[in-house]
Amino acid sequence: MSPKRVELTARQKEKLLRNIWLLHDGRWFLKSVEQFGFDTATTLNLAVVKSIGRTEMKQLLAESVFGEVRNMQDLQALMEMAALLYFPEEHKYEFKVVDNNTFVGHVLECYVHKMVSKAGTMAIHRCAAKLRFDSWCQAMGLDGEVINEKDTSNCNGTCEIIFKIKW
Amino acid sequence: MRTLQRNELKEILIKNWMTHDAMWFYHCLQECGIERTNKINKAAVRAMGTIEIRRIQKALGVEKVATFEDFRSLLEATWDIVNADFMKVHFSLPSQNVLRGDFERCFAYEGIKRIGVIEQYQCGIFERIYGWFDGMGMKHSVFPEVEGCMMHTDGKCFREIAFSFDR
Repeated sequence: MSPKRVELTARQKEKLLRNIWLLHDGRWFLKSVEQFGFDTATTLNLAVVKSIGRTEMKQLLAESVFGEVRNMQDLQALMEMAALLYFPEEHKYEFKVVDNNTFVGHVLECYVHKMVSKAGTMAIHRCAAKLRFDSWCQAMGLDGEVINEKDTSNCNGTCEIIFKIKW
Repeated sequence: MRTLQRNELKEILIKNWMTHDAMWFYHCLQECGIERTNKINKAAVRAMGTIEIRRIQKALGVEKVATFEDFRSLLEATWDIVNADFMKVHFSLPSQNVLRGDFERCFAYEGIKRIGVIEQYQCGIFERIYGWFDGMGMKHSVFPEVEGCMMHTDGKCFREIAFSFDR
């Protein structure tokens, strides 16, 4: 007799996809560490994050026909949509528009930090968040900078990522 | 801006996941050449596939795959989660205990050809599927046994996988 099967909702399927995507990324990193050591694997990971960051934002802009990001309201709307799509549910964050040129992503519980903690490599892991968001901004055609003063070794799973945008 | 439909969200997630995988491949290739990149790619995707299918089984409430009917049911549910329109692959069950996969097109072949290493590329696509069988604990044999890229050498790509079930 076939085992009883649960029907998954579209949301549950998306959650699985996100988590397996992260799992695949993690296996690439681990296998690279085995082949080249941690430093080279980290360099590779940072380069990959920079590349995929651009692609994921460009794709979302195209598919959603979002148009130009012209002000803070546009930026906030797009960031919220991107975060819902690309971040796993375990990642807890808040977005805040501080002024016309400043947008802050406050990470309350970081999914990368959780995974790195489990692996026990917090002291040597390099956070790629700034690079990913730099790439998102480039894909949006924004002029500005992304500031993240913390790294995996000193963030304790929380941080503030500040977007300074020149309109 | 338009609201994305569920099937579109799924398509975006899978496209970005596969692009992310391709970027790991590309950056790894630049760092260490095709031989080690093939090795890391296949090891990463097989390890991922093994865990992937267990996560899907858990989500679906499928404890064990004991018969070909169990397998058929799980494969259909898995395919519904992980397949995307751009993949252009079709699975069929031509006879008892046999699975056949036919590629109309292959995104990996097309991507690897673009970066100029198709002659040396070793297929990672089926490694993922073999990882599923590892995860399910299914004994299997594959015809034809191909190390490189069949789409490149033969202009078509397929595998027939025969299973044996311990009763």
